[in-house]
Amino acid sequence: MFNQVFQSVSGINNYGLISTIIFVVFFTIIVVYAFSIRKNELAEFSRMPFEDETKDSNEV
Amino acid sequence: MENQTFYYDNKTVKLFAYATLFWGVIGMVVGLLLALQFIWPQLTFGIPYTTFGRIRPIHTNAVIFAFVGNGMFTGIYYSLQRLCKARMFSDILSKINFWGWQLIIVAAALTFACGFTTGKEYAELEWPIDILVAVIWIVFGWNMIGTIIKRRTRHIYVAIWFYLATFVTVAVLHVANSIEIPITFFKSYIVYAGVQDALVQWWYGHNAVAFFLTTPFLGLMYYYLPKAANRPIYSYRLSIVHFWALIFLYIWAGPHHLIYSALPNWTQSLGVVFSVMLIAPSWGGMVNGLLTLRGAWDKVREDPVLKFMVVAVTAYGMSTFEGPMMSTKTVNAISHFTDWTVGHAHIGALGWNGFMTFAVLYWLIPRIFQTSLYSRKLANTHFWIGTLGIIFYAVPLYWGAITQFLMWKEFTAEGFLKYPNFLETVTQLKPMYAARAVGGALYITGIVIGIYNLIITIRQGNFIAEEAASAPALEPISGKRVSGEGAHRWLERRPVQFTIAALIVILIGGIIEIVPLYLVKTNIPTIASVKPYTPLELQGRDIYVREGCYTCHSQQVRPFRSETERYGQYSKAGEYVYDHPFQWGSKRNGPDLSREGVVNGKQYKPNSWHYNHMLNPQKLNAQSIMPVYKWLISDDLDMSTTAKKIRVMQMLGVPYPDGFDKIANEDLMKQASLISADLKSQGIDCAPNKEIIALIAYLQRLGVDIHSAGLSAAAGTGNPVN
Ligand code: HEC
Repeated sequence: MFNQVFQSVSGINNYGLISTIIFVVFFTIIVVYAFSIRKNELAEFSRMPFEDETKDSNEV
Repeated sequence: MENQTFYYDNKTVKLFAYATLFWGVIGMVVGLLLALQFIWPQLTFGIPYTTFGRIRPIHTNAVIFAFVGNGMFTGIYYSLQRLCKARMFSDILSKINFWGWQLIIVAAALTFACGFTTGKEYAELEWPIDILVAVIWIVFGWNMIGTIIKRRTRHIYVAIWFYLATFVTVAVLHVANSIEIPITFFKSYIVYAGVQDALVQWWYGHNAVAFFLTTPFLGLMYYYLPKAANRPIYSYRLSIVHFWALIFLYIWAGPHHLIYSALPNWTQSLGVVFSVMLIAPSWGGMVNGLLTLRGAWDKVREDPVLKFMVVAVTAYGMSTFEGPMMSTKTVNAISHFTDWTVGHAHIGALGWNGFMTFAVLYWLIPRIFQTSLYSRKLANTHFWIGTLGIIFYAVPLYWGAITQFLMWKEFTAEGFLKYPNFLETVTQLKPMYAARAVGGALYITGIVIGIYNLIITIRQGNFIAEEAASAPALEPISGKRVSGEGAHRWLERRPVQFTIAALIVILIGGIIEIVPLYLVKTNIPTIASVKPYTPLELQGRDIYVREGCYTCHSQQVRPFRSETERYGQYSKAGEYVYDHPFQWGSKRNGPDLSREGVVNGKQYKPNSWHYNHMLNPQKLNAQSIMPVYKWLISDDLDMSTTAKKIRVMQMLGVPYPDGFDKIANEDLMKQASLISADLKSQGIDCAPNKEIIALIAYLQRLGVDIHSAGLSAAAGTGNPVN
């Protein structure tokens, strides 16, 4: 589909291609990074919103 | 490290929460008034301050920047402190942030009512207030980053990434789209012209949606949804990908507001492609939110906070599916310029932003008041009335949009437009407009119930202004990467560097799309017959901007047969090179005006017609929903600004001859006298120095230059020249 969109337009060859390549490279890096994080670390990060509750934050 | 005790600042949170509710009601009541003006145009009351074109920006700005803005600050000020285990960086900055923001809102409402506007949608504020916005925004960012720097946690939680991206991107967008040269304290010209202005404006406009209405609220979702459901976010991994992919892609999508316009095709196509790709991260976020509720759906049935959140996240999913669809050329040809866009915007605003805001308020207000919500039943009532309100609002508008589009496009067997009178296509929609007003009224009723519920909650509670907390101080480690630490992990503990990284990511799209438009000359082919406006026309144009005519009228004929038949030649980029600001508009509640002045054209009207029409549109067309503009007939034109306006235009590259500013008013009076004399010959007495004369001069100029270029009007449905 993208191919079609691209082809029907004049002058886009460079911009479209470059932009898409930049995105794909960027996206790949992020995905690779996201999957490189260890499970226990992820669990620790995702519990951050709950940490304030373990302290005496409800004291007046 | 030893445990430190500190206090969370709840006072600022409380103030922002009150402001959210207050401005929410005001902004939406103004919206309701606008909706009613479509049914009873007399409700503009015949005075300038309440006319449609002036209060529409009050509505949009109040809802976006006052209601959602204050709601966002409420949620951020509360969650940021807890996620950082630190009090806000500076109480003084918090105060400046709060009071400065309220000052901006009041100034906005007053100046819009007086007609001080830049004429750029969602960026209508004039330059002094623009500067104030920039200052207060930086105060917010400074306070936020300061807080993050003194935090007592190592990792920066993903919600805060969204807050940081919000801060930096809105700053860039606001500044880039507000580069104006002042004429007076309340009037300026934007430095960009025509197509370039359109692109910068919609790069801004679209990303105001992205980075003011979406990213901060995603941040709120990542904090409050887990809190309310009492379980961590479904996938932290997904949230990382969600964040980066979203901010990267969003920034490219602006040109989807300009499809089939005179914008160069390559830019349009980039906008389309990236808009379609945007579905992926948006839905990633939605799925992440909804899956967090896995196994907790029984809670949703019980808890109004979760109910609001589920509908909010679902509305987010719906509008982020709908948005990319509307970006494709096929759908855009239908949806653009109709109320489809308005329906789409309100699914986002009422569903996503509105409901998420109420979820946050229902969750947070009882907590800072150490009590529980007064009535769950009332909150549920609010929820159901609000949901019904959204449906009643949006469905009639979608229906109306398709009806109107079909009517615009319909030809008779003989090949003529079936509904050549534009007004017929508006009159047809009146029942839909009435239903929409009912939807809006329902939504507001829900809010009033919500406010009552919260007031009683607050009354029975006990406010903790300073909430004690304790946490061990953070052990200092090197600012550089420590061994074994990846680049991203390092970023996750360095707020300033993180912000810069986000900045770079969002700049890529903007630069690739916008800069070439300035560098590549062929993108905007000039048209020899297009000349600068005369001083009278220029003044008239500024009246057009002041009155917000663009809130109902477009100036952009798309290359469809149904449009060239109705209006005349389709629009070319070269036509707009002297337009500071561009006035293409985004919806058509009235006909396109860009060919209004072409003598013998499809829309041409004599001066006297315009005079009578502005005086009382309903007298000419009983069904017209256009407001009366009788003050234009009684008010004198302010000619003291003419010379300065010409000089600023020259500065911006408009080729007026040297010294023209000195004779500009003379030229103006000469042209005005001709129009006045013509009116006189039709039995209308109107002095040449009245505002209406300038406006008529401008309307009679529209499309004239391009027509005299002798380009074929029968160009049909092909693409624009470029
Ligand atoms: C609330 C929406 C609305 C606003 C605001 C508005 N108009 Fe209109 N306008 C309409 C509608 C609807 C029509 C068609 C019915 C009619 O002719 O009155 C129309 C028609 C016109 C026409 C006739 C177009 C044609 O070719 O038939 C002109 C000219 C015009 N408007 C100028 C203006 C100007 C100038 C302003 C700002 C000062 C303005 N309008 C503000 C809704 C609006």
